[in-house]
Amino acid sequence: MWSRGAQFICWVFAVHLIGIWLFTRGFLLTRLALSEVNSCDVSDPNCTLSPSYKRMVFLIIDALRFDFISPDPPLPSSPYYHNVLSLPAELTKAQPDRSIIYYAFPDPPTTTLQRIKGITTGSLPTFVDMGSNFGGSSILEDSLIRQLYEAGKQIAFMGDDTWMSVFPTSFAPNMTFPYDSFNVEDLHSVDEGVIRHLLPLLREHTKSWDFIIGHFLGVDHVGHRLGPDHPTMQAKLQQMDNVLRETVELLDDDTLLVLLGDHGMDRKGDHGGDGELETSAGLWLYSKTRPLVDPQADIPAHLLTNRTYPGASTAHRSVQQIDLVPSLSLLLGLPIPFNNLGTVIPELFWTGKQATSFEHALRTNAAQVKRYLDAYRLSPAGSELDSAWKDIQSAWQGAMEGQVPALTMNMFTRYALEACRMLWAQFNITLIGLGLTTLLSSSLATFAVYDSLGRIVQWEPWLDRIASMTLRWSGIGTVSGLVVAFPLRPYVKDVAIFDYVAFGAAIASSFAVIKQALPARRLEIGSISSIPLPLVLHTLSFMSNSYTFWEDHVIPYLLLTSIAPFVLTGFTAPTPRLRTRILFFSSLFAVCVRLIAISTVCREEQQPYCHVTFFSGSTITTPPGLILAIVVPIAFGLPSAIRQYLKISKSDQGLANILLPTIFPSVLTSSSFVWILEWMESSEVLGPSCSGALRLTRTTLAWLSIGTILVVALTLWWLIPLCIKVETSEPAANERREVTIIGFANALGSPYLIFWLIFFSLVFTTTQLAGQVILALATVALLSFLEVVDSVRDVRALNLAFSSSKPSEFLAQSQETRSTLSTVGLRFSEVTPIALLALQVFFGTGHQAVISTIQWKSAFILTSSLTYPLSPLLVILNSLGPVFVFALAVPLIATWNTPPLPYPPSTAQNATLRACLGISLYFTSLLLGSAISSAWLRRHLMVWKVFAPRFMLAALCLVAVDVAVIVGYVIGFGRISVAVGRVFGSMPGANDAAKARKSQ
Amino acid sequence: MSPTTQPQRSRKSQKQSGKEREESERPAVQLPTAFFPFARYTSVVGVHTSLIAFTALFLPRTSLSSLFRSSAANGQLGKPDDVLLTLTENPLRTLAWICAGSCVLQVWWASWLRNWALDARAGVTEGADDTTRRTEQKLLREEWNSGRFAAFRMACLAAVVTSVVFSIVIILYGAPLNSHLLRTYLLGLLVALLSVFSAAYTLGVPSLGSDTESLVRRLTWIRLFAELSPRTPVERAILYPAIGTVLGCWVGAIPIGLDWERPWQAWPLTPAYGAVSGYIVGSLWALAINGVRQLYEIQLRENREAASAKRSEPQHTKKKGT
Repeated sequence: MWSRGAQFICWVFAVHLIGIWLFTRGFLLTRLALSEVNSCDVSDPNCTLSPSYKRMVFLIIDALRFDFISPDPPLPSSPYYHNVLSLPAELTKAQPDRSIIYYAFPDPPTTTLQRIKGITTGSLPTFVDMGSNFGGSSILEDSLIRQLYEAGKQIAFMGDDTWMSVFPTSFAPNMTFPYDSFNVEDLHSVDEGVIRHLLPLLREHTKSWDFIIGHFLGVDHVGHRLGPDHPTMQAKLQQMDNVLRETVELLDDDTLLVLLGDHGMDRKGDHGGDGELETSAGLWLYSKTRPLVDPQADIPAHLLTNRTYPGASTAHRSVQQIDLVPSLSLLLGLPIPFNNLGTVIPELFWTGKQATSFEHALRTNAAQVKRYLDAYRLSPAGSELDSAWKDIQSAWQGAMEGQVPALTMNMFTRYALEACRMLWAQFNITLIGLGLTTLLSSSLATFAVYDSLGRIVQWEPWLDRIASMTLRWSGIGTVSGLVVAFPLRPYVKDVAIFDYVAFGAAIASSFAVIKQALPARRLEIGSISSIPLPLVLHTLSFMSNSYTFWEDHVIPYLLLTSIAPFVLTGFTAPTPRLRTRILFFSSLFAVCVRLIAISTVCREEQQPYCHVTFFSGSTITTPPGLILAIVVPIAFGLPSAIRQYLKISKSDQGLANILLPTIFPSVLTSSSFVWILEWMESSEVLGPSCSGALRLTRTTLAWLSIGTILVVALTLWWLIPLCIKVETSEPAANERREVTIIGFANALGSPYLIFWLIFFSLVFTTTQLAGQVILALATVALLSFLEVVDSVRDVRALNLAFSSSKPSEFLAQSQETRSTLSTVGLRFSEVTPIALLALQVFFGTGHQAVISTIQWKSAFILTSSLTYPLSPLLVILNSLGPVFVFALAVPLIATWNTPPLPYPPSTAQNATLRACLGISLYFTSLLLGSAISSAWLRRHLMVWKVFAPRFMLAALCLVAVDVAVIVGYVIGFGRISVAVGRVFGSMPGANDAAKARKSQ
Repeated sequence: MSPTTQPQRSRKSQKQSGKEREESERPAVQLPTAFFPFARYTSVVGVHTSLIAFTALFLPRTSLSSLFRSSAANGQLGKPDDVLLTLTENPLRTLAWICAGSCVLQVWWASWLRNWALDARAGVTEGADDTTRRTEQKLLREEWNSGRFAAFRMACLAAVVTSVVFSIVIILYGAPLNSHLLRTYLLGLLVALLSVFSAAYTLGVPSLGSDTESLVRRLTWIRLFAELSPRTPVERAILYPAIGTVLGCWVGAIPIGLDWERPWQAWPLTPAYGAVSGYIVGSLWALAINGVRQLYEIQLRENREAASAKRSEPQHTKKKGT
C-alpha cells in the first residue's frame, strides 16, 4: 500500500507546509494586544468628563450599510433597502439637535468579530485575527465594556453570540441572551430574540440596567443568503424600523440611543474585505429630549470630515467608526479604553462658540492616545514604531504647544491613527525571505526529481535513495537549525526556534535532493521550447492587479492556449481515426471550457464589465432559471456520459457496470434536489409554512447521498476496484483455452476514474446548483482531454515508429501489451490543462480570490445549525473541493488507456508519480508568483484587496493539491495496482501472451 | 524533413542538363531552380507591408471615413491625440476599414505570390532564352491563368469559411458570447484574410478528395500549417506572415486585461493591431530568411563550382559550404 514515491510526495507536502508557514508568519500581520487598563480616577478631571448620560442603548444592526439609513440615498434608489429604515432620517429632519446620522468608516477586515473588537476597544484588529471568526476569541485589551464593568454598571446583552466569546464574563448574567450567530440560514430567530428581551428591559420602571447591547443579525443574514435586492430585505428593514420606533418611544431623558452597522455589505450582500461598500456603515445617535448637539455650535470645518457615498448626490458627515469609543466613554463619564486610537466626535462636545468642553474632551483623548503609544513603544513590539516615532513625538509636541489646541490635538490623534494603520501593515522581511527561499528550493527539488524520473530507467532504487536522503538531511537540517538559532536569535527579531528548525530541515533536504537529482545535461536551445508558456504567463500575471482580479478570464485563455499544440498534432495524425478523435475531443474540451467560463460571481473590481451569471442577479443569491431547469437532467445524465467514455476502451465493465447505472445517478440527482429544496425554502415558493418540511427533506437527502458515496461506493471500490470482465472461450480441439479480458486496455484508468468519481460526488453535493452544472461540464472536459492525450500519444508513437529504422517491429511492440506511454512518456504540457481546469472550475463554481465569495450556505446542508467540525468541513469542501478534485484527477493522464502489463506497471507508476509532482509544481509556481508579488507589492494600495487574498488562495490551493495527489497516488493508485496485480500478476506468461483487446 | 534537401537535389539535376556557357558568363545572377526573384520580392514585400501598415493606421482616418463621423468629431481634427481618437472612437468602423484595405492588398499580394509560385514550378530562370522552354512556360501559364478565377473564387470561399472558424476560436478563447459579435467576426475575417487567403489562392484549397492532386494539396497544407515546416521560399512567404498574424492576434489579447481604461483597449482593437503587426513582422522575417538562404545557396554553389573546377586538377580536396 505504502508505495514507492509516497514518501517523497509526503516530503514535498511537508516542505510546502513549512514554506507557507514561514511566509505567512512574516506576511500576514499581527498586532501586539496590550493588556493594560485605563484605571484613572473618574473624579480626576484629566481622566474623563462628567457623565452626560446615565444609560445607553447600543443597538447594532449587523451589516447596516450607510445608504440603508441615509436621508440621501444614491440614485436610482432601491425599493428594497432605501428609505425603508427611515426613522433616523425622519427624526434627524424633525429634531436636528437631538438626532444625528454619520457615515462611519469601519476599518477592514469587515468581519463581525473584528468589528466588535474595534468598536469596543477603539483599536485596529488585524487581518490575522480573521481566522478566529469561526471560533471567536476572548479579548485581552481594555474596552468600553470593561470600563463599564469596572465602574459597576449593569450591562444587558442580547443578540449575536460572538459577543459572548469576546466578553465571556462581563454581562449581567440575568440579562444575557446570546443567539447563534453563524446560522446564516436563520433570518429571524436572533432578531426576534433581541426584540423579545429588549423591549421589556426598556419598559422597566426602575431601570436595572445601565447599558444595553442589542445585536441584530437578520439584515446581515438576508444579505448573505438572498442579497440586498430581495423583498425579504425590505421586510427585514421594516421590522428593524418598527423596533426602533418602539425603542425611541420607550427611551427616557437620561438614555442615549446609538444605532450602528458594524460594517457594510457589498452588492451581493457579503462582506469581509475592504471594498468601498463593505466599509460604509451607518451610525445614528439619538437623545430623546435633551439636545445632543448644539445647532449654534461654531465648529471649524477642518474638524468635520465629509465623504460621499458611491452614487449619492452630496457628501455626508463622516467619522471613523472607532471614534465612537472615546466619545461614548466620555459621554458616560468613563475613562477612555487604554488602546483606543479614535478621536472624540466634535459635535457631541462642542457647545456654542465655546470649545472648552470639546477641548477638555480632546485633551483627555490625546493624552490617552499618547499613553498608549508610549506603552506600545516600551513593549516587546515597540521597535515597530521606530520609523514613525519621531513624527509622533513632534506631533505630540505640536499638540501641546499649539496655539489652537482643538486643531493640533486633533492632528495628533489622527496622525497616531494613520501611523498605527501603517504600522500594523508591518511585515517581517526575514520570515518572508525564509518562506520564499523554502518554497523556491522545494520547487527546484521537485522539478529535479520530476525531470530525473522521466529519464532514469531504473527509477525505483534511485527514488528510494532520494527518499532516504530527504529523511537524513531533514535530520541534519533540524540539528543545524537549532545550532544556528541560539547565536542568531538576539540579532534577528521575531524568528522563533521552530522557524529555524523547520527552515533548516526544509532547506537542507531540498538542496540534498537538488544536488542528487539535478540533470547533469547542459541547457540546450531545444529545452527553451519545453518551457511551459501557460505556467510562466500565469505565474507572472500575479504581478499585476488587473490580471489577478481578471484571473477567471485569464485561465480559459491559457487553457485554450495549452490545448493548441494538441490540436496541431491532431492535424498531423497519420490515420483519419486518430485525427478525428483528437479534433473532436479537443473541440468538445474547448467548448466545455468556454461554457464553464460563462459562470461567474463577479468580484467588486470587475465592475462594470462583469455580469453575475452564477446567480440569477448581482444582488440576489438564487440560481438562474435555466440552471434550475437543466440541473436535474444533467446530474442524472452525467454518469451515462462517463459510461460512454469508458465504452470507448470497453472498460465499462465490472465495478463501473455496478456504480454508473444506479448509484451515481441517484446520488448526483439527490444532491441537486438538496439545493433545489434549499432554493424553494429560501425563496418561499411554496409559502413559509413548508419550510420545516423542506428543511427536513433536504437534510435527509444530503445525508443519504453523502452516506451512499462514503459507505456503498467507497466500500465497493475498495473491495472490487477493477472495471474488467474476463471471458473464457471453450477450447477447440488442439488449441489452448483462450482468455479474453474485456477492458484490459484501460484496466488502470477505469478503476481510478471510479475512485475519482467518489470524491467528485462529495464535492458535487456541497456545490450550489450552477456549480453542479459547471462540475458536470468540467468532467466532460476532463474525459475529453484524457482521450486527446491518449490519441496524441498514439500519434507520437506512430511518428516515432515511422522515423525508426524498423517500423514494423516497433509497431508490433506498441500495439500489443506495451503502452504508448512507455514509448513517448509523460509531458508537462499534459499536466498543465488539468491544473488550469482545476482553477477554472474553482472560479466557475461561484468563487473568486476574495473572502466575501465563500459560500457559507454550504455549511448547512447536513445540519440546520452550526455543527463542528461538520460545517467548516463542508465549507472547505465547497471552496477548495473543485481544486482538490481536479488535482485528484491528474493520475488519470498517466493511467488512462494504459494497460496494466507488464506487471508490476512500473511505467504507469512512474508516470503517475510524475503527473502528481507536475501538478504540485504548477501550484507551487503559482504560490511562488503570488507570494513574491504580495511581498514585493506589500505597500501597494491593493495588497489586502487583491494580492494577499490571492496569496492565501494559492496557499490553500497548494495544500489541497498536495493532499489530493497524496490521496490519489497512495490510496487510489496504490489500491488499484494491488488489485491489478492480483488479477494479472499471477497470469501465466502475463508479460507477452495475454490477449489484449485494445479497441484502437 | 530537412528543408534544404529538396532544392539541392533539384539543382543538381538541372546542372546535369548543362548550361555551362551561361554559368561561366553570369555566375552571380544564376539562380537555383526554385525561382527566386530577390529584388522584386524585396520591393513587393516592402510596398505590401507598408501598405498594410497604412491600412491599419491611416485608412480608418481617410476623408471617406470622416463622412461617417459626426461633425463634432471633425472639429477635433489636428489635436495631438487625434490619431488615437479617430482609430478608437468606433472600433467597428476601424476594423471594417482595416478588413477592406487588407482585402484589396491581399488580393494583389496573393496574385503576385501565385505568379511567383507558378514561375517557380515552371522552373523559370531569369536568363533563360531557350525558345521552346519559353513556349512551354507560356502554355503552362495560360493554363494556370485560365484557372485563376476558379482559384480566386475558392480562395474567397476559403477566407469566408475560415473567418467564421476563426471567430468561433476567438470566442472560445474568451471573446464575449452575447455581444460585440460583429466586431469579433471582423477580427476573424481580418485574421483569415491575412493568414489564409494568400495560401488558398497560391496553393489551392485543400479538399477531402482522394485523387493525387487533392492528396498532395492536403499534405502540403498539413505540412505547412500543422507541422510548420515550409520547404520553398514561396511557402515561407505564405507561412511566416500567417504564423505572425495568429501569434500577433494572440498576444494582442493580453493588454485588454489591464485596468488602464484606455480607449484603445476596446474590443477588438489590440488583437487586430497585433495581427497586423504580426503579419508585417512575419512577412519581413520570411523575406530575411529567404534572402539569407538565397545568399547561402549562391555561396554553396560557388563553392561547389570552385570544387569542381579544382576536381579537374589533380587535387581532391573538397570544400564544404559555409
